[in-house]
Amino acid sequence: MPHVDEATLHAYLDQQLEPRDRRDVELHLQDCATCRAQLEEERALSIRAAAILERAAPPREIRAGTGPKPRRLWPSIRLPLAWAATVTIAFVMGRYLEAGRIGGSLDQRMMTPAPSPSSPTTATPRPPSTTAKTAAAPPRSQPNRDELRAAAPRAAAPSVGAEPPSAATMNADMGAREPAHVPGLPVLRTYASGEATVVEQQLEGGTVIRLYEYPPGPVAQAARPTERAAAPRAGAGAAPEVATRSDAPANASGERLARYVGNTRVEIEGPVGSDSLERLLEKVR
Amino acid sequence: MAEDLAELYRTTFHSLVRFLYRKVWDQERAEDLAQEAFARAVEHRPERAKGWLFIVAANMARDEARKTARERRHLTLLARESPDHTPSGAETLEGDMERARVRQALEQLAPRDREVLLLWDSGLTYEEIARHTGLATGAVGTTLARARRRLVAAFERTGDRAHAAR
Repeated sequence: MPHVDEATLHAYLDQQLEPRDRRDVELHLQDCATCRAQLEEERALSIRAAAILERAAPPREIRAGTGPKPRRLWPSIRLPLAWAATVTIAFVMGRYLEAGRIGGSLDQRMMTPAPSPSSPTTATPRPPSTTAKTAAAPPRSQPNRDELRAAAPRAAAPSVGAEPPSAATMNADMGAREPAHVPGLPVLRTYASGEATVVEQQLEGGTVIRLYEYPPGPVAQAARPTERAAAPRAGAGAAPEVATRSDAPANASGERLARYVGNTRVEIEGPVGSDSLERLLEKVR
Repeated sequence: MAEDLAELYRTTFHSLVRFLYRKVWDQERAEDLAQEAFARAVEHRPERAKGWLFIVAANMARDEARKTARERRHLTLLARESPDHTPSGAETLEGDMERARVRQALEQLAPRDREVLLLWDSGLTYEEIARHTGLATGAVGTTLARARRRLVAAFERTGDRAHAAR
């Protein structure tokens, strides 16, 4: 075997060689002092480069949502962007965790794993380690199915003028599944608005999160354009909406952020505290 | 997919922030962009989510950099190196200088070398790096070797200049 080239030595050091290639390199190294010396040089280089990069690690502990940060308001879109992203993640994780708890009755359209031949483990839902913690959370911080149901009968249906649907009716409409909600937040009320089932939850202070869950299918698609126009999909590159006009009364701050996740519109209304979004994710964890 | 993303969030968020930090050099922005990348993954449900996240994040960071460059052209009164750079006291000065040296060294690398190096440092495998950079898997080792050598050389040059300046 000729001398081992530089790229292969790095792949060997990085443990990125196929087992057979790795064995070949090791056999060669046993007999070749030149390559052994070269290997040690490359190892030192690799360690040095990693150490240099480590000096450019983020200055503070990275937190996916917690802790008081001396935040300085960076361009006006920063907080809305972070908010919409955080709520989207919290919401979807909540749906997943909730589904694990109630035996998998989750929205298949949103949550069914895409076929992935390269990752067979995706075929079997495996709750992450956070599941147990969330399931064991105190009842007050975790709105359960009963709370959601109890909220429905006293809810008004402001925009449709019809009788508010009962919890049983709504659950039947939604395929015997409770309406979408963010885990860990108190539910203010649940009501119907057009085709959507709306769960309104309190974040903190005057900030309210509304989840408009539309039934899947063409009716929902037809019902959405006006709202979609008001809240472009951030995933398509647009910033989340920050609007003052709304179909429900805005509060004092007049801020409203919205984003679609599958068939659900996630809307936040109210003053945006700099560390509130972080506590939200903390609750999900 | 959902449990994949939940697990990926737990295992990859920090790496993604580190990766983004070396691009935007502002931790809050890096964290926000990482959040946004995950939010987009939730919407798009990509098949190979980990690599997809880094590519989306890299694109967002590039867009940010372009936007910042445009803003800088208009805001020429801002003399600071970065609009978000906020020296926060003597205790961070040394760290800031070190980061500035690394940043200078990284900026001397060819874009592809830098990208491959940062992706590797963020925990992607050669195969994942190859898939998302268009390199052959065999070329990743070559690129990494070159990137490491140039990073070390550039970093040491910046140190020499700093000593000479004193």
